[in-house]
Amino acid sequence: MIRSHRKNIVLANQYFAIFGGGTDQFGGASAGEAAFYTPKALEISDATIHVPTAPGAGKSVTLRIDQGGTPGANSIVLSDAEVSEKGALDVSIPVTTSVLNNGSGIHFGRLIPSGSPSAVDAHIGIVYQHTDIPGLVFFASGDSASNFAVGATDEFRGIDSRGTVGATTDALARAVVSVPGRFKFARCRYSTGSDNAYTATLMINGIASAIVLALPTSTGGALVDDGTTEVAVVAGDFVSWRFHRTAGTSTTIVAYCIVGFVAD
Amino acid sequence: MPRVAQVRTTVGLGWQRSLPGFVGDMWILRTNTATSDMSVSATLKFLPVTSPLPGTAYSTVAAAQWQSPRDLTLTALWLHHAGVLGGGVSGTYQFNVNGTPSALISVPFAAGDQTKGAVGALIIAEDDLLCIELVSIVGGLPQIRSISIAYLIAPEA
Repeated sequence: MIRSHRKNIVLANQYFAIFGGGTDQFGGASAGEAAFYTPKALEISDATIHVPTAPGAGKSVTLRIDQGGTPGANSIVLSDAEVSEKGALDVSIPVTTSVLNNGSGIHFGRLIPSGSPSAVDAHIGIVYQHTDIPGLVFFASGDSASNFAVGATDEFRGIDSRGTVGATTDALARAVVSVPGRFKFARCRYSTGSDNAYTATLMINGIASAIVLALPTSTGGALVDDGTTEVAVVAGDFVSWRFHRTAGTSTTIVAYCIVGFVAD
Repeated sequence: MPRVAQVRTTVGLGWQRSLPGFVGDMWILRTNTATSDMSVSATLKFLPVTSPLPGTAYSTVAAAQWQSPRDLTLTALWLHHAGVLGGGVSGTYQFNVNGTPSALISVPFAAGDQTKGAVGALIIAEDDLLCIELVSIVGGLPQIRSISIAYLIAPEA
């Protein structure tokens, strides 16, 4: 069922994005940012930010949504001794077909330090909705800084997909579906290496679902998606990703898969 | 000062569909599988605790706190551990709101468990600070692989 005026909230960690993705913890002199593209038009209305440690006297951290390198009009600023702040962002994000990279595409979120505050975790709650499917949320499998095979630290909500890729490798972790609904709108950006190919399969209770993305050989960050297949789930089901190598011998793949979910 | 309103009611997951005016949704908090400690992502790790005597219960709270941007009703909490818990391990997870754990949704676990969840109804107000607490743990800290949270949010005009 599609409901109007339905907004969602994403809980993001120190790196933040609707789907996950990002490169930097805020602090020091560099801005943390997350970049990706959305398969559905998106409106971000407002957000909260909470940090365990205040930036400190004369220092600040700014939360802002940029697009294509253009700073967003609104921002939320934590300064001095503040540990919590909220405010309006009012950003509309259009659908784009571009493959995005940090620094060159749509900046989906930026944490901009000023005065070199100490690096700390930031916890962000973002209120948003997809304009054509208001109940749609997305869960990410990976972030833009780690790949599928390397146990790098990643900080995002989503469905864990890390592990060592063999001929068939299940994600190390499963997540429990807590409300009934449907998974749909799967999309994966990936690089396989020069002679490898994979499939990425959404697994439900350890069994392959109908959402299967073929990942043919690509070294340049290719993009595949499935905008039509739906998979129904009930509360208590497990969801995870499986990566299956179909050609080549490599045990690594860089893959950032996302899948949409609409609660019944 | 943020307020906390808590109601005690016995509900099942089916209740989410029948509450007029509200819609159900979920968060999935992915874990940090690369570490062997209690991490649930680096920012959801539990605060360090001093190891008590064996068999002694203690508690620890997650480092991450989110400020809720809306009034919400939390309706379920699920935790999936890295493996089946060994002997001598038991405890209870709860939501912590503004520094206080709530028993309205409690997830007990014990040796032999890997995935546990509980339903209930915990109302949190806009601006409340939310995190997860291990209100009681005996034995070593279990490694969590994922946390799923169900919540209800009212559609906006």
